[in-house]
Amino acid sequence: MRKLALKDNVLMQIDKSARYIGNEINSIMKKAEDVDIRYAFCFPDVYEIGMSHLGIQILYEMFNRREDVWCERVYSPWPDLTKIMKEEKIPLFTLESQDPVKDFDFLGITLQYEMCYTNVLQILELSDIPFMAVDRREEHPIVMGGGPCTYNPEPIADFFDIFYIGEGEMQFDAIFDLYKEMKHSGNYSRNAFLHAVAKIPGIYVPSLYQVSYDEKGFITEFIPTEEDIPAVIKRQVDMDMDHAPYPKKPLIPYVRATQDRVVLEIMRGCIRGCRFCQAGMVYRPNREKKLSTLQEYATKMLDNTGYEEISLSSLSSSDYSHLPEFIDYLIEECEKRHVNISLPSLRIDAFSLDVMSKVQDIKKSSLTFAPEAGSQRMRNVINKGLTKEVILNGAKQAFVGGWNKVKLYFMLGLPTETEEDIKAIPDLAEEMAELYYDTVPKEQRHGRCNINISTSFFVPKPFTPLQWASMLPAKEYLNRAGILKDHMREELNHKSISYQYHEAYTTVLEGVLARGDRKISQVILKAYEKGCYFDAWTEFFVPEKWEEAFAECGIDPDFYTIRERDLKEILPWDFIDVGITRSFFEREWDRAIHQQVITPNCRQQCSGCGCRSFEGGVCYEG
Amino acid sequence: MKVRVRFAKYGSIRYLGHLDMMRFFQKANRRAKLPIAYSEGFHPHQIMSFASPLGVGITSDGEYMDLTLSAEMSCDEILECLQEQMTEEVKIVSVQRLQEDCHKAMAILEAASYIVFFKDYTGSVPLSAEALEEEVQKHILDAKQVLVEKETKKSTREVDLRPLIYDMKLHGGFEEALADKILPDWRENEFLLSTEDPYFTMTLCARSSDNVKPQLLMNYLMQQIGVKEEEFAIGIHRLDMLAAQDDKLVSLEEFETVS
Repeated sequence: MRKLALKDNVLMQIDKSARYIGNEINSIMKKAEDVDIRYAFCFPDVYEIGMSHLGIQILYEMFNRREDVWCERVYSPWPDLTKIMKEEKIPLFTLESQDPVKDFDFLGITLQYEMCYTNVLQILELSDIPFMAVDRREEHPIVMGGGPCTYNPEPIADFFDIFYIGEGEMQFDAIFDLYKEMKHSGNYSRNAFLHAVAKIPGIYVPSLYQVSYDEKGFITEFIPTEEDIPAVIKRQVDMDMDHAPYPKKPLIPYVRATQDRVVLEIMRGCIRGCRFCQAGMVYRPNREKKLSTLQEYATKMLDNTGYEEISLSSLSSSDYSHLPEFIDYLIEECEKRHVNISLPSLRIDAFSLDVMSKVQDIKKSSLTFAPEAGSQRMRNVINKGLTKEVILNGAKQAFVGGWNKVKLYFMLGLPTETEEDIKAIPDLAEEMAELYYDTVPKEQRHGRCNINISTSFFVPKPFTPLQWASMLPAKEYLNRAGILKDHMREELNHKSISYQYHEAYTTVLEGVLARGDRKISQVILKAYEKGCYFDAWTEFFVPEKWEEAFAECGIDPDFYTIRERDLKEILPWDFIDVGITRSFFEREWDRAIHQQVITPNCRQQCSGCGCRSFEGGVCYEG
Repeated sequence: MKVRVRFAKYGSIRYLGHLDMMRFFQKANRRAKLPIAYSEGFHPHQIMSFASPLGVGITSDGEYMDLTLSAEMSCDEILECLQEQMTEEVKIVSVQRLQEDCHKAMAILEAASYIVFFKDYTGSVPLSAEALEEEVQKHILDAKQVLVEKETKKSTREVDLRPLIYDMKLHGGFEEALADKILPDWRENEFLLSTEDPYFTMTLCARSSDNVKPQLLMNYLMQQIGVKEEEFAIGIHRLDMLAAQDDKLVSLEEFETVS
């Protein structure tokens, strides 16, 4: 049988021990002695979350196609096991070989959300790898970071040897070839490799850059320490979506993962240009897969997994050009196979309602609208080109079609937000409720309609038109949620409306981590030393420890959140070129804050963001 | 047609809980392209049922899953197709066609047989086969009552296990080949599975209302002979599940099947 890293007595005393045994269907086993490079790929959160991430599955497939590389997986051990591993000094191991991570050539960590930063330190500590890149020696793995958070890697720059900026499909072969060549020729040393890899496009080696600050803490200079190191790092983009590697035999976890289904990415990017949305910017240009590619992937993946559900993945599935044809195909194929279809991120209109009535139980399901802001003025600021008429028309058709549960997503704390904008949120819900009672005759109703408002607090992200915006103190967020709640109670149909909001301090911290600079590393380390990890989990998040960590490091979090940033300021992430021009972001900032007007989407009219230079995708349609 | 699939679970797959095992088979059945019958509705599910859940950490030679198929397929072919979709630690032992009017395995389950061994022992009472044999005779087999506290969701109640114990035997030393098969990691984990180590076989009631877990019985026995609960840990291997037929216990593999 397989050799397990954990003894039976450990596995028998922890929760869900099957998280740690590996050997899932479609996992890839090789012999360590047959490969040149061992790559440990980590998602720094619990197994069920990590296994649901498509990015790792794509790269797992791509890396393991190479005979000279064995890519394995590692996730954050849950606190029950973490405690035992520390007490018994059990080194963190990968799932496939169950070998210690510290013996690998690379440890690659995907950074999907800022609140996982302390878990990165947990991974390093359990692997017995020094926290600070500068303290690592020849025997330690090269620690790499990738994923959306690397569009501002500075708050965690001290913990990583390398960051990969952009889509992994592009440069990993070059990285592996370089590493292997240096090892074989005997020219390898950690420093020599880091120096050489820094010249590969998209690769950022933080230790080769020097940051200077003025006495107030503003960045005055950000330069490479050596002449042959590039000053600007260019985001890597894969323009050939139909030939990009894709896991046609995805791993099937034994333990039920959050995404317990086939996930099919239908396109990458978004044409919409919502000004708060980082993904909508940094995945530009919008690139679709061909209908025939999707048909082939869907059938193969269902065959190879036996999953009973398939879900489409994209930022805005309704914008996929061949959606009606593809859905027809799926409905037919899935009916034969008794497979469910799940369709997130569809705009509510006649077409999507028709589709949803075919694939789900109307009585049990709820419809989701994401107006993101309550008033038209506010929606103009964020470039959410959705009008009240469109929303209510969609709702009306849904009510006629038999739905009576609606979820509405909004953000609070957006730039220029006033009390009026906040009150417009429950007002919209009220109008929707009234519409229900006006539209659906009494005898056809199944009780009250159920309008659920959910708000998150706005966090400005790097490489968005709102990247200069100020945030609010935690108290003020709660105050605004209070205004919403009080106003909701005054609505005529308040019994049909409910309201939930996110935690405020998490938002503030996420704000600091999203737009912080290198000085933040010490705060993250301090917070971890105080016991913070699994911060993305409400039950483990302790705001007081973070507050102490900021105070003890002498760092004022408000510096990163409360003030509006000047257009002239050097932003910590300015050295990255995502392919969108600075002037586009500045124009969009002006159109948001001052003109408060909508910018047309990529298919209506090109706004000259700069992504035409990638020579493909939506920019060259038609 | 209805079929009963008997499967075995060895090695590291013992850490999968019952629900995960069910989900594992739901996917395997699809990959194997078996013509499974589905329930009606928006979220159709496979018509399948398991005889009895197996606890985490327990290996088995006798697990049962009943399937309803919407088309004819030979049992040999079903076995072959399913086996192809297993990991190396799950073996499809047999596939039997069931009588059309058969009962659910869960409903006719009468008893289950087990091997029980020691994973760990730190007590001072010697664990020799001779000594234990006498104790088993005295405290279990010859006893009028075996009274234990059984915890239910709401309360604890006292239960007499004696009528629910169909058989219990002590054996002198474990067979190495068997240990290597069901628990290839027994040496690393220092389980007491050598040719010197005594172990038990037992057949206990498994009716849903009166299911006796081996752990409960072992806790009782060890307490009688003066071994504290923290001084021993047992391992369990399920051998088979049985139904009552003409005052005899027969394997579910042979019950209401069409030969």
